[in-house]
Amino acid sequence: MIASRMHVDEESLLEGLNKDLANLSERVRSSLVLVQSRNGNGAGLVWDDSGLVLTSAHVARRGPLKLTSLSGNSASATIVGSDEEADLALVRGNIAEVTPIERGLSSRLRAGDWVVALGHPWGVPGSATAGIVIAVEPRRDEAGRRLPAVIVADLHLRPGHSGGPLVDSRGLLVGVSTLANGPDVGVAVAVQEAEALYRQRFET
Amino acid sequence: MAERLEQFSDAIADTVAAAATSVLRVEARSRLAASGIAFSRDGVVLTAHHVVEHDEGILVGIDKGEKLAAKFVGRDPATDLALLKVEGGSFPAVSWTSSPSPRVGHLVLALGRPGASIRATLGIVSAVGESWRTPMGGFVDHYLQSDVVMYPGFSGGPLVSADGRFIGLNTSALLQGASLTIPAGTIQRVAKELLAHGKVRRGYLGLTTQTVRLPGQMAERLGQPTGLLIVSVQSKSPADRAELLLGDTLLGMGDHPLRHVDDLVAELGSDRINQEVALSVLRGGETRTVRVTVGER
Repeated sequence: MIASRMHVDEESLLEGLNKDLANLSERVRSSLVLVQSRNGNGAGLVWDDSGLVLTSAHVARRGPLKLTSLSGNSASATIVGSDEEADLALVRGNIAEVTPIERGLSSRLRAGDWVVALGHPWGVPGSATAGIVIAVEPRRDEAGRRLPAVIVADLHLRPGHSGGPLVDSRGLLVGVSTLANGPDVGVAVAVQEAEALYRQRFET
Repeated sequence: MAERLEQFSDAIADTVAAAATSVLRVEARSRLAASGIAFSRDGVVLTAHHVVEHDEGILVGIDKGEKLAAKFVGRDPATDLALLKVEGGSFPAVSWTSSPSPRVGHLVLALGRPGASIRATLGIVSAVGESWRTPMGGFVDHYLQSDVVMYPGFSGGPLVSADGRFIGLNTSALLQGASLTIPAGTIQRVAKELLAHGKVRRGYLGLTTQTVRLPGQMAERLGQPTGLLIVSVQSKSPADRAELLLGDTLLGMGDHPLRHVDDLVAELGSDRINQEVALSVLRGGETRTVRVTVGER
């Protein structure tokens, strides 16, 4: 027993932060799905009410695809659009009782901002990992051509995170986890690249 | 709903943004650039010794993306610190803090600028300890280790407290696999020496010694199991002038016992230069005192 803890209803700053973080993860989990393909397991997130799910291109590449929510509902899915360079794919499959994720703006992120990634690393469904944004830098290739925007954060992403959401401190989608080589940093494709893919495929 | 988390996140990003103008990029090696800290208003830049591989053609990158030519001022490999100077440069110099000293569990940020923009990682203070000596014999005021991840190019950048105070300089080179911070007190002391002399001056005797076991009775009487056997004396050195001989065993300097070679290194700081010291020496089975005026190296 800790003697100084007299008032159980009085919440410390850290307890408050813990609670916020747990609530945020809980809320994002309702938009999180498991994506199974012949390439193995990855993550995905519910994009809208029409059954669109956003994931990584490298996860969705080899069908057939099966989507499963954390509450256990599942559906088969087909790929409806992809951007290999940005490692993004949109797939369609109607899973019951899921919530579309709220989208934020990755361009507002600053170095030091808190971010949380959800996915299914090591086969553990709905795992959360948190860290801060290391850098927000525009990327170009050697010819000066613009490359897909990414967010680099000091969190530990594993293969099961691929395609899963990276959210900001308000729980809004800012990126989609992807694979990275090199030092142990978390890399996510910026949400604006997914918006672009969606527009290119569905806007008329 | 996540209001507190949002405030927390904003506070950290604000801290990073406020410190960013004092965190510089240092291009002084062929591979990836590293980081530095604006040390004084007149353009002095603090960085890590191990990231400065060449003394010529050094560039310092500042917040606005500008690159400025810098001159090499000096380095102290023992504490992994180096100073550069941007002629005509003026930066918002940082203010260091050593009090209240960080405690284990405190949130800390490591900042770096290996690229154009500021980069940050967050962690907690893992260990705070007493003064220690680096593998190369440098004296560090206190041990400070954190779990911040030192990404490539972060060496030479600052460790910053949650409220934006600069705690010290981060280096990944002093101990393998550990994120260590050289604290402000050590930085001030070494920087003063580097600005005045271009190096950290050391006391010099002109001796090579090795640790030897003392005879049983002698060890018991002195309360120390080992001493330092002199294996060479440089001619015309302070030790030579004081007529120290090959085969003498050093037992102590002043009141301090000399048990290991490190003990002698520790005794020969810059404050000893030109001072007379009393060495306790074992020669032919008898102890005697030999007075030596310490030189400079």
